[in-house]
Amino acid sequence: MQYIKKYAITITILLIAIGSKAQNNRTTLSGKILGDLQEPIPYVNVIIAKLSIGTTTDKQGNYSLKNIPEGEYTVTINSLGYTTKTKNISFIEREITVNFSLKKGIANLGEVVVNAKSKTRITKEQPYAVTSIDVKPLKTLNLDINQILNTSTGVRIRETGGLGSDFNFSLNGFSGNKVKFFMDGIPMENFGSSLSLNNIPVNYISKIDIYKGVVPIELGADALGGAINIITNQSQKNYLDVSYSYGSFNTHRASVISKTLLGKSLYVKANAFVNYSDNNYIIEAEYADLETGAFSEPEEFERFHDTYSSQALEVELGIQDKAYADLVSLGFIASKNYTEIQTGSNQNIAIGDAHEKDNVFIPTLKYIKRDLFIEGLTARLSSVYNIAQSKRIDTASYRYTWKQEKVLDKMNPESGEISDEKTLFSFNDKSFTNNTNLNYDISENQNIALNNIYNYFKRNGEDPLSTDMVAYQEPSTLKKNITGLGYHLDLFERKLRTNIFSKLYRLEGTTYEYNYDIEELDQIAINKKFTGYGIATTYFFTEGIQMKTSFEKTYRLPEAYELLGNGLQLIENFELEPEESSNFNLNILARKKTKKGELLFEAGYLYRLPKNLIYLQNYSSTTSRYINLSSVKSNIFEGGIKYKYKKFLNLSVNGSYQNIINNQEKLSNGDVNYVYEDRVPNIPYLFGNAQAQIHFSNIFHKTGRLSVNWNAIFVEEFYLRWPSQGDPNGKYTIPRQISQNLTFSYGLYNGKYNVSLGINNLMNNKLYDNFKLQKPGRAINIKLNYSI
Amino acid sequence: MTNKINSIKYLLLLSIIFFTAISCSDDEPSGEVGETEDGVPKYTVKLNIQVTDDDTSSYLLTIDDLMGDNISANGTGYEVGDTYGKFGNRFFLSDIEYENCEAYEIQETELVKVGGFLLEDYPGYYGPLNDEYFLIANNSNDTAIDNSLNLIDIEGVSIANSVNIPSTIIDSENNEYILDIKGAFLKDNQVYILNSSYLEEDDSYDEYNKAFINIFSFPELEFIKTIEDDRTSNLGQYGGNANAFEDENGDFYVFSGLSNVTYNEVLDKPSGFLKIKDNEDSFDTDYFFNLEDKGYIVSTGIYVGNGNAVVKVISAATDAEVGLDDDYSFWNGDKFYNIAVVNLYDKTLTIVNDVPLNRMEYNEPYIVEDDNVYISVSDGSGFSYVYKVNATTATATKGALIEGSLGGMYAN
Repeated sequence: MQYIKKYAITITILLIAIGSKAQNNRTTLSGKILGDLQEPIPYVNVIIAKLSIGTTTDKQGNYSLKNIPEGEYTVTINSLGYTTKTKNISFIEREITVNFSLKKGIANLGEVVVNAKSKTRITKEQPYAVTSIDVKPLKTLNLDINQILNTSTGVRIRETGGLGSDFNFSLNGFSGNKVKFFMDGIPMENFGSSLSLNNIPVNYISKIDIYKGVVPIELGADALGGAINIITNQSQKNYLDVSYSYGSFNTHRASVISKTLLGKSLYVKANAFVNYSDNNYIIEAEYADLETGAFSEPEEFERFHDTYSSQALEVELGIQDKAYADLVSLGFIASKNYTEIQTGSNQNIAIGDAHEKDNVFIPTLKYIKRDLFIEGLTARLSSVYNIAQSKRIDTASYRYTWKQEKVLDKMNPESGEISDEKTLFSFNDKSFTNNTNLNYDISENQNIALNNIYNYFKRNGEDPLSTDMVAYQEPSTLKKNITGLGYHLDLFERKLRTNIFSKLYRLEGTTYEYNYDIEELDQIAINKKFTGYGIATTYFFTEGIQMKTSFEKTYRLPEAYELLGNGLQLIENFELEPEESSNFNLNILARKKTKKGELLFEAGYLYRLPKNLIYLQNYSSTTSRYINLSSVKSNIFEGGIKYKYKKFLNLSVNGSYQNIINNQEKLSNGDVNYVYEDRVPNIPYLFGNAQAQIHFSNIFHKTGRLSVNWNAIFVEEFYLRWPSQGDPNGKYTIPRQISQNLTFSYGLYNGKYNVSLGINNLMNNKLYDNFKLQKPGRAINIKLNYSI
Repeated sequence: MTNKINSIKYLLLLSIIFFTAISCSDDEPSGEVGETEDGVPKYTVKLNIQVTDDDTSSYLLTIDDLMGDNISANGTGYEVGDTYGKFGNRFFLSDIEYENCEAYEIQETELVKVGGFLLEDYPGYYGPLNDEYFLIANNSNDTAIDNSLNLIDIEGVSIANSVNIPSTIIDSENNEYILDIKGAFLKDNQVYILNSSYLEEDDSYDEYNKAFINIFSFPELEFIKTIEDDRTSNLGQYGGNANAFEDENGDFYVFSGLSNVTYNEVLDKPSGFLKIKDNEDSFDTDYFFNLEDKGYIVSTGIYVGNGNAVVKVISAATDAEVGLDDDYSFWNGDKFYNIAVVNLYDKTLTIVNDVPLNRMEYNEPYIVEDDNVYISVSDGSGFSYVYKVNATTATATKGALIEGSLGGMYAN
């Protein structure tokens, strides 16, 4: 109640401020932005900082900025990969046309760039520790989003196998759902596995923002240690991008990304992608004799039951630039997945029949209106309904070997392959997510935002083969409601920029647990409330040196599957508490320009004090469940250097050291905790990567451009279990990993036609992200891309 | 220009440092455990460390003295998933998956892997038979699915024989019981399988009212016969690796120790010892050592000699007071247990007062040395200690502090 009161007061102040504003004569500024070769540059930011307004160019390089009040202002033009340009313009006439030309330059490391969706976001975002990755130059490469993110500072993605395999994303040591993912601001958590970071093609997206620690309230989620916002192509004009790639392990990937204008303001977006791979790469495993069980010495075997295929189709019909809406759209995403299971939690057992199928259907609604009722008030609404079905098919009673022999289970010839009984268990999820955002520019240097995200989740399980009680036979439901209020203030000629915010979290749910004493289901209710808050501020010492600092107290509510399990190998845990964390960030950014080159330097210190961290624990040999580990403490140091020389060469190197230690002095039964202050195991603690790009122009043709991309990922060996215990030479380890990738890509007509040849794991090293789960060896692929 | 060259030089240098740092190859784990100057240390222990409220890590380490310095895995010991035990001269361990069984032996001072095998199912019971074989049994707990017995070849590190056996039994009164294998021993070249059993029709664990042993041929594992006795109830105990005592005469003593604390509803059948004489294959009708007459219920123990065994017992009064409460599952439970010396010939019980009340551990470890038994005691102080118990005097000496708890203790 106290919070509702606080919010009510703030809203009243906001309304008074709105009322005091007056309308003036307005100017429209428009024009075209071109590059060195007179090529149009899309997604360039055009900003009038003093007014906190801005826009971006479309695919043809055109921009238009409306409602500029009379006066003289500095217009700033910037874009990732280009040098920034400014120009003073007097706005007296009704319409002004100004064209700009931009020179290629280095991307601004760590600096926020306004994305095309939120034209005034720049002033609000800058204090946050955020890294933007411009994905456009990477489109010719055969990558998925995971591979792009894996080269960013502090990010580590651990994969269990090849294309479509399970993965664990971590940002500054926070992994799983401690980091939240968004696509165009919509939380991806209920999208299902068929629309995931490991299968969305690079051509689908234009930019990725990585927020470390403090997450802007407009993303509204209950993130514990940051958020990733994937931004798709937001151009207001027609576009078409078609790509196909083929590579090792019979891997095919194709995508079509398009937008077609039907008349002046009606448009249709149609995107489709397919992924297929046999994933039949070679691993080193021990063969277990079917009779005696005896293991052989490690031998090389081909994975034989690891096919992955996924298809997704997205259609969006929308209207843009109307009086009643800047954008209103209706659409859907439909996707399906087929995943064969090849191994358990390690490679000793080969699985030859069990597989999973996923189907997802997601209707979407988006609405954006700027200057709603009054000038400066922007309303955004996005609603997503998810209908997802996930099915596990485990009906074979065979045991397989790596030699692809099979034999009927001896003890129980009616068993499943993984489960004790045959299963066709499926769970049906229905969820609804609504995100409402109100944003008001009080004045040139003040802004206030109110955001609410509401999520309803229902899970229902069934298994036609089971004679016993099935998990989620009675549907389990979970509701999350997160409201955030933020205020932004600029001082000292915008040298000091500050955000303060507060978030109210609420979690409600019901589920059922079988009570063995009364042989009936018990209903279990969950009802929890928390309040988080934070501040983020940045100061520019000089134009080239910037310091950012932020602090927040944040919560991450347990996800449905963490609380409810998956009905099979994942056991429910209704007593799971939300994770909480106090996060502190300090970042320094410095830039040194020379005549032809530019050197960028970034260093960060991050302190995290999380409590009740949720971990996956092995519950028995075949099952696991999520538990709260009481407390850890993280000190994280990271840094990066980038160097660019002319248009010819880009070099970058970055690294992270994260010391995450156990902060639980005594066990809850009072016993001494012998691993107090020990580093938390099974998390990479030292890793980094290096990249080099060389570009050659005028190759074979006057528009021909050849690029050579090289990158290397390094992860230091780490322990599966607590480091202090056991002889270092006798411990389970995940070995040091050095992986190099090399790509040659050749483009014609300013990237209209592209062909690329990629080699992943160049040195064919045995790579492991997880204990005893080998990743693919050297893989070669070729990709064709047509883009207009 | 100079600046630019410097910058490039600087970056090249950084790259060189980076890649030199990352290209060094790492050494294979050598598996060295323990530190001794003159040959093999006297003991090997498996130390379990409760690392979080719900998670344990285990280490195999060699030590010279159980009564001396702290037993700690800090910087020492070989990481293991779990141990099946020491059979013959070899340690059989699992890695992170229980079904993956690996064998190690100490060669000079190093623990060396000598092989491994894959089990079809999660083991329900494992225990020694002789120097050549040990037994792993699987329980289905389902009338429709068989149980299985696996004879493991210690030298060959493989499954030598695997048979399915019925998971139910019809007793002399025509009741069908579901069998749960809890123990085994080799006697007169036959395998004796101890079962806990419950009435099929009730499908509950309430009806423990008989002692059953199934006898199989060895090494064929063909069923020979069932022997039963209704003077006491189920034989053997889950997680109790010492379920039968063989004395110097070749006679075997088996015991039943159902208690509330082990979450078994105690019927009117008392805890006690039954005897099977050397060269006989039935219970000795003239022998029953009723322990509950002495006020105690036995859980595990080890035979020392001259009829003496060191056992872990709970007072029947305490057990009745605690009642049937699933919060007190037996090895995570509170400190209810005493250490006692029983004499199987004289049918006497003496509490070892030097050992404080302690809690039950899964696969309670024992080492017998002359007239003494080393045991591990978790006494409620938050710490565990080794105690050396003398079976003749029923006295004990407190030994090394255990930084964790002992899941296995073996003489090398």
